[in-house]
Amino acid sequence: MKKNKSKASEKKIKVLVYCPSDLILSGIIKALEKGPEINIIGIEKSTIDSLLNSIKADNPDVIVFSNTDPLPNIKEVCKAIKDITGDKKKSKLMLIGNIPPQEEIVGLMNSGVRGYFDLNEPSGQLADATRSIYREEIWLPRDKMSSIMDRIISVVGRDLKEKTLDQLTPTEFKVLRHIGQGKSNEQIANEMFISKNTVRSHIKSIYAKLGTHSRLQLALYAINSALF
Amino acid sequence: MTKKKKPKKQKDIHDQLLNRRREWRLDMPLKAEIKGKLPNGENFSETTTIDNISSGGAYFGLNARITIDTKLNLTIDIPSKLTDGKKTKLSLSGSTVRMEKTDSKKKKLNIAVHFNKKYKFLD
Repeated sequence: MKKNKSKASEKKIKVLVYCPSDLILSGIIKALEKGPEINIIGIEKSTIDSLLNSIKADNPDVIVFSNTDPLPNIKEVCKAIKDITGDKKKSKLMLIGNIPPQEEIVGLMNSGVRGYFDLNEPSGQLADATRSIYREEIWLPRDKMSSIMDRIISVVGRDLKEKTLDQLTPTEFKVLRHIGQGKSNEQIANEMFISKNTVRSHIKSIYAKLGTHSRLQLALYAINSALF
Repeated sequence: MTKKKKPKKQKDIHDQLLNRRREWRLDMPLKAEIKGKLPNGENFSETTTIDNISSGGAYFGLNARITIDTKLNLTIDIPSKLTDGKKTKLSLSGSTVRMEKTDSKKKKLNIAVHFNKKYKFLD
């Protein structure tokens, strides 16, 4: 019996709660208590410094951070928490509040936030969110998740496009090769039997497709294409 | 007539979060000859391999003990596949902006160079 009991206590998720508002704090505690495996090991209501000290001392599995007033330095706070907990890969940070725009969420996640629990979500889901963060998953409101994913896909897509020359037409690729050989527009026009204006037009198009305005960068793209 | 102020263009999230560089760095293992002056005034010339490069600058390892703001000249051999066998070189110049130590076994320093706008192709 004793062994089972100790096993059960081992499985408990150590949660540290930061919330300066008594009213919201009581709601958070009530919601977290619905998760039998959740163990609230500490509550911080005062300053960010005291929160950071508690994280260092208690080494929680999940940090639930709620702040009613928007903090201008929230990213710095998140980075400080990440710095304390990052190496151990144990403590995970979840913010509670009114969900900010998607760009801000991406920025916050970049600063170490693993989850954002919207105040409008059913309180019963807070324990689920905490479990997800503990399992190293990400928790975000469902409606925001799709717009964030769209954003990420467009960024990754753009990233890939920037790095490939696949989008160039065969003629544009020939012009690019000539640029990589150090030829002037006039030399390119003579070699390709086209006018200088057409060369300029091709180069303008290449600039737009590769997202650059530098002829040297085009030459480097051409050199790179010859290497692999 | 008062001029209407143009609304400030919001920076793309991509630029803000993922890549603040103006140009894409290309990972190109190109042989390059680096020339410059050591702090004692002596000229040096060293061959190295470029780690990455863009029109803004380059990053590579160097044995020479140079300092920040040292003017360097890089000469890169353009692959013959691009020049149809013709020997062509690209000459770039710039100054060191950052230096990092590599692992303790190697004596090389990793050097980041910011290019000035002058470059030329050499036959």
